[in-house]
Amino acid sequence: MTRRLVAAGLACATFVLGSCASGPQSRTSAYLPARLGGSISLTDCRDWNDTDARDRYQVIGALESFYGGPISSGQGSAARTAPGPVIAPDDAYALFERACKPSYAAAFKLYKLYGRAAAFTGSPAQPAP
Amino acid sequence: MITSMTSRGGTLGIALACGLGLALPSFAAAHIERASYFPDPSPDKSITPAAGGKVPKARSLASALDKGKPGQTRVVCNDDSYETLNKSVQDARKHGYDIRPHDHRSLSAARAKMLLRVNKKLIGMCKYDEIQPAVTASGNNDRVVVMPGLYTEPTARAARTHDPACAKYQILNDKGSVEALSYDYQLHCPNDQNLIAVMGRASGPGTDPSPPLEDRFGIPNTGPCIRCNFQIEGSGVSADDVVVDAGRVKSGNHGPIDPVKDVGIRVDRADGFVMRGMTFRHAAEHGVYILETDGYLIDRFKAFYNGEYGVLTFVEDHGVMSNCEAAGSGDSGLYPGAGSDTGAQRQPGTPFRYSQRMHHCDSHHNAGGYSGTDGNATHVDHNNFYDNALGFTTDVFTAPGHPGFPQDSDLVEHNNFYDNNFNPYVKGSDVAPSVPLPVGTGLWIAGGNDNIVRNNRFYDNWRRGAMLFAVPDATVCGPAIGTPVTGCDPTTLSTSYRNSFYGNKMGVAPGGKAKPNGVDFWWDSFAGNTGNCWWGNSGPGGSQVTTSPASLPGCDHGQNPGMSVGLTDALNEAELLGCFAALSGSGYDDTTCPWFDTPDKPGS
Repeated sequence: MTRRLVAAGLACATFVLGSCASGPQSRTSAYLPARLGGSISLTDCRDWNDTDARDRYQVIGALESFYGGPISSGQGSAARTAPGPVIAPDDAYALFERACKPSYAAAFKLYKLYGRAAAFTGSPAQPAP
Repeated sequence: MITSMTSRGGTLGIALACGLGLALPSFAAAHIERASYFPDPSPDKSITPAAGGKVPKARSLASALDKGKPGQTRVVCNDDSYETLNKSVQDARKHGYDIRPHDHRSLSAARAKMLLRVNKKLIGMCKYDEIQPAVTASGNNDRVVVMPGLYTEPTARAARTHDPACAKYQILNDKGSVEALSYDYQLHCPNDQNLIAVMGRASGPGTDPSPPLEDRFGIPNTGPCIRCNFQIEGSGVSADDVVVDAGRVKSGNHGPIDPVKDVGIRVDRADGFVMRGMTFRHAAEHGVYILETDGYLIDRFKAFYNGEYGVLTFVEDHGVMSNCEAAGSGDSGLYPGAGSDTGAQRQPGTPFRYSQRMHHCDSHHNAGGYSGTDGNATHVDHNNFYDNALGFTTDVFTAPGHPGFPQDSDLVEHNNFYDNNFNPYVKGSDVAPSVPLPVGTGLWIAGGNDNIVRNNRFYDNWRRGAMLFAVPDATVCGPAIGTPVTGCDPTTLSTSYRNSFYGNKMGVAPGGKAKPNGVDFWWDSFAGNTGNCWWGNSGPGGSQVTTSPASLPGCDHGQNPGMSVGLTDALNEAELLGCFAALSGSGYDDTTCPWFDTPDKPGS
């Protein structure tokens, strides 16, 4: 748990206006720097391998913010929504380090790798206050 | 039907569930998009004719000249459009032309004459040399005719991506983040992400709900039609004559793509949309992207070398894509995802129907030929899926804002799934795969219910013809341990029930030549799954099909689905576990997961 808290703190510290902050003024930017693909829908393993730890945690923060958003299921009166699962930043870091190692993984999208890992190994995101 | 996994109990069950879930990294994926809603399936009668409520009919090219018809026609052309058309007509008269690789046609003298006559008049009407301005100037019932040529849309390309001036249109999700852009953002900044954007409705009168509504039927805060019943079409002989390029032009219909924009054409809330006779290539994400639209027809089109999907349709109703070709996609060629829930999970009191149909398309040389995450009630027929790593996947892996879990009610019939042995993971591949997929597989259903796979051909897929396996809810909507999320209980299993495979010809090409699959049918036999049946399928010369496990439930020729109960196939579950280990342990490694190596050709 301590490791996760430290990692989360680091992510907050390095993630300008990051997802750990709350309230409408503290928005996560929709975009990432061009060196990170420009947005989390485009960031891939090539970007991951070419950048440094600070940038990597920025990507992880953006992914956490997106995947921690609401997921709906059911319909009508049975419809339900709850925040999606996320994984600890340092666990995500380790995941990408492994998955992005093979040369053929260069174009693998990080959000796809993260989403699957988070779905099973993650914890529910906490809604903003 | 929901079955409790707790009834299995035991460490093995949990381990198997983990393995299944963690095999998910090999699935084609949901994409990042705003919280989306199924459009109202009833016709919007605020305009005449009404928009949506049915699949729209394409208006003929010649009718673009008829000023008595509803709507105004705007024509886009290049300096040499007519000459290009003329050359194409002459060539097609001599050699014919391709709707798609499996549909070569001759051009009749009458149609050649019509094309020349109509285009001659169109050139006189041409006032645009880029497509977006013509679209922007259009309203309800209008149409844009694009004459033969290559269109790079320099003005849209020059539009700033991630324009700070557009930041005011961002929408927060409940975490205070804005990764997916709002409808208003796309409406006011159409070329920020998109080379061409067809925005069908005005802004809503209020604000978008935040967090999004739980019930995903009906789009909240949407405005009136401003570009409904809109048609865009190429005026050439085929889609080859009108090319829209969002990246590296000199790559032609191949890679590398070097994209400038994320999307080739975005069609958003544009009920009654029709697109015909155009090619889209080299977008970073999707060549053609249709979102929250009731009623669309995209026909006689091609999509080459787009980074993610050749075509992505998302939360649609009354949609048809037909007579098409898709190749070179980093994820899947054709993706009719999250179709409206009109099947097993339809709203009470409404009849069963298919919300989307895809037919007469060739999807080849992609990482995946077809993908449909939560692709519900989709009719897929008379297509060819070949030379992909995985020919067809429908699955349940979703993402925030994506409705439709669990996947259900597809009808897959009269298709050919063959030679899906393309390995994009080897050095020098001309396709840059954005996902890991199991090379050598014709089709899989990764967590779906009530699907029918019948009367297809599966041959020369060196790993497997067709696979079926369960995906525990925990892998989709919540952690295995902890507070349940998304309304699905991680201890339940709501996927892989009541799927039917029958009347399929396995391991034999259309001419009758034996071309075996590695194994014809593969099932995990997940403990507790019920109602999955295989019957009436045949191999070469009417021989028996090959299966793993050695015997699959036939359910008395499908008459008694209750005879099928999953009992766990340990070997197949172990494979799924191994592929999980490949991801979470040592990276994608063929020593722990065989899916990323090309299998040996059967019999070699």
